[in-house]
Amino acid sequence: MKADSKRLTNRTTIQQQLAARQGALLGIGPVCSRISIRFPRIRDDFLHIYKDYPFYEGPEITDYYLDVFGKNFYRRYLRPQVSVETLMNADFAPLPESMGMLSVEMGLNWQVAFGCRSHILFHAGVVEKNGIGVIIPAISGSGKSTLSAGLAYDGWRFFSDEFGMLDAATGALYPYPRPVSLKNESIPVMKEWIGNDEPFSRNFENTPKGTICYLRPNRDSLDNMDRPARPRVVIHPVFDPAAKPAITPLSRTMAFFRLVRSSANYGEIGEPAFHALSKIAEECVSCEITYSSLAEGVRLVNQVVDENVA
Amino acid sequence: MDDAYIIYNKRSGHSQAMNEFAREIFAMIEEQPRRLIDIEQELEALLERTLDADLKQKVAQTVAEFDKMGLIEPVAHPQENNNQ
Repeated sequence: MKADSKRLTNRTTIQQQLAARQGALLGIGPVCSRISIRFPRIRDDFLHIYKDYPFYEGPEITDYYLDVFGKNFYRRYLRPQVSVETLMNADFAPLPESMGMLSVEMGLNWQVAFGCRSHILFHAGVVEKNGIGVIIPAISGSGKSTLSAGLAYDGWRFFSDEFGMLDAATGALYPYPRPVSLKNESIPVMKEWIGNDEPFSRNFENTPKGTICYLRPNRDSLDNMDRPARPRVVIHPVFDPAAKPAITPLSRTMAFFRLVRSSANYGEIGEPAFHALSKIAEECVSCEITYSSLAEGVRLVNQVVDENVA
Repeated sequence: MDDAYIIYNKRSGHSQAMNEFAREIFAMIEEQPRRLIDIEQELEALLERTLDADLKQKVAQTVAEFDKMGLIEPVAHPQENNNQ
């Protein structure tokens, strides 16, 4: 799709394309999105977080389209308010310009969550090291974003904190390393973990989910976003500040149904998804970990992998 | 799987887990249409004993569950067809 496309390196050109209605072409793993942002401040936020991502001159196929704009003069300049168009009949509530970056991320997430048919989607974090792909499925608020990002900044390659993408035909996991969406208490935890504020966005306060901050994945993960991995381990994380650390193995049947539950498009993909998930449940190590801090979660993930996967 | 059988229903797109007992009954129905009494008789032959009332009720419940899940549907039995 974007293999033959030339990568843009001139930041001014990318900025100009982003500002225009036609938009700039952003490639993330197997997905290419055309993005147009008409507000300078949101473009600045966006380009800070997407600094190391590839933008292309023109692929043959664009998967998704996102236009972030003000509906009229009043909403562009006087009381700026951000509207989103995705060409997918979405009906997003407009947000104030100060929260425009949320609209961008929400628009991109929504399209993948409801539009992706090329891959089996898991609501999961995914990381890889030494060819060992680890799927970390969990619901929102379970700490999977923090755990995935913590692993990414501790020697693992980051695939995603939100969307695990599995090719049903080959059984390979594909990276979709979007910025990590950190919320509330996890923001200072990750800043301390990384020890450098540069890869973080500014904080977006008073959103419906509290304070949100975006984290750019590490450079190695972005440079290798076209390299898939085979899933070998599935870890369901349970964050409980009062809990003792624990690793609980799951039966294969439980592993299968938990994967089905975490998949956003299992029903749409149908039988190929059944076979792909059955294979993961049969072949991968599956367990639940309970942890009370990021350091403990990272240690338990490493322990599961070291003890079970050669 | 290690502790259960998982089947995929092509019509509904749902996946369902079955224990060995349910899978055995389902395999009989997959092989050819059967009445409840046919299943009971085949189970008796397999187990080499008469089914007690509890087990017969379990068979009936299992078949009813299959029906509820949309895995089976009623058809005219060959013997009934021959009698017409």
